[in-house]
Amino acid sequence: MSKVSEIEQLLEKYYNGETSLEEEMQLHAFFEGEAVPDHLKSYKVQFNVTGAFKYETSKLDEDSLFAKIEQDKVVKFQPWYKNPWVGRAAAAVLIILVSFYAGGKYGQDSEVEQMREELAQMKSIMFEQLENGSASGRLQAVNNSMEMQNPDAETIDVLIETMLFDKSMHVRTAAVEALVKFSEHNGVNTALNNALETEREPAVQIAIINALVAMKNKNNIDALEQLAERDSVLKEVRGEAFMGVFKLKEL
Amino acid sequence: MELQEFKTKVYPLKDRLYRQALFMLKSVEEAEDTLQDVMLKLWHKREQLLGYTSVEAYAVTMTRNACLDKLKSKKHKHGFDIQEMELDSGVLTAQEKMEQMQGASVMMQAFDRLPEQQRKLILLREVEGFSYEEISERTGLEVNNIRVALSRARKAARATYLKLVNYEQSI
Repeated sequence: MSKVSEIEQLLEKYYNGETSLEEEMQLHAFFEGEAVPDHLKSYKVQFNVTGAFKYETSKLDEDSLFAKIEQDKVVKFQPWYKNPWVGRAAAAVLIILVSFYAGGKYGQDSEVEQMREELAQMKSIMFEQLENGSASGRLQAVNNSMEMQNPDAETIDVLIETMLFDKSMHVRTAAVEALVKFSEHNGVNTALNNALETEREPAVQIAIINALVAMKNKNNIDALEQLAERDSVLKEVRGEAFMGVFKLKEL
Repeated sequence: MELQEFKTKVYPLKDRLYRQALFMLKSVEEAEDTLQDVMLKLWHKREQLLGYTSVEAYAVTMTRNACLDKLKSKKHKHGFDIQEMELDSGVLTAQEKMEQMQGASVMMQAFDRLPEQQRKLILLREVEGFSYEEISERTGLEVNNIRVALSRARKAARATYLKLVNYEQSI
């Protein structure tokens, strides 16, 4: 019975706030066991309840734990008709149509001139949006640039600048994707290499790696190899770079 | 702060915050939901987080507030929804299990009636198993005052529990 009297002493210390952590563990273990004499039974539940909480862990894995952040991060698009860009683009198209009509009526010469002017106007709207718009506005502008058949050097420069310096990783990723489409333009390959050097966001890094591989330019192997070796880069990204090197060498 | 860095900072806190929420809400479902909400709120406040010396302290306060909101909301079920919890290592009959669940539920009510600071100390000491020094760091209380408050909390919880049990038995 020495065990029981020891427990009784520990209980007294416990209720006086004098027990050590080890002694409290002893009490928990005792009351979890089956040999609790009747006169101590009423103490059991106090230890059992807090003891049960001790071993509770959250069943949420990393994905579910951060699920609400991921939902929140998806860029919220406005309905298309509320986007000011759509209205402006529609106006520009209308002007072009009217100018076609007018051009047909009043002579062929001014037609090409007019079209060029209106396209320039559309471009400036896009640039303005990139400069002053919200993240979703900028994203929309970049996506719109992808529709262009043959963008001029100025448009490419703006896209490169967006890829390198935009605040939002989503916009930067979109710019990478847009630039791959225009990879035959001078400077795109070099710009992607520069971006690979400066970019710190893993998701964008992976987009750049995929872009460099998609362009099938063997000159990019060096840059990818360097990235794959860099310790500061996330393991997954380095794996992706390594795969990229492999794919390019296979060409 | 980018998401990856944020995740590595807060992920290690998840079980502690979960136990805190569970202790307050007594429902696995609500505790998990609260945990997700807290993560989102922390993410929104990530810039401020950089200024805090202890992300943990910030997260704990946020979890507490989120739980209080939940408790106030009409959707909260004022029940005891932690059936799956292992309360006893012994083999029990269904009858004994029932009694034990009831006992645990009454004990939780007794903890709930403690003043907030005492309840917090119970959580830090009995559930998280922190030393007096660690509790002192987290609450700013002197070790001696912690001992006194814990003693009061333990005695008061027991007294309330016995009172509630006797009351139930008398009806």
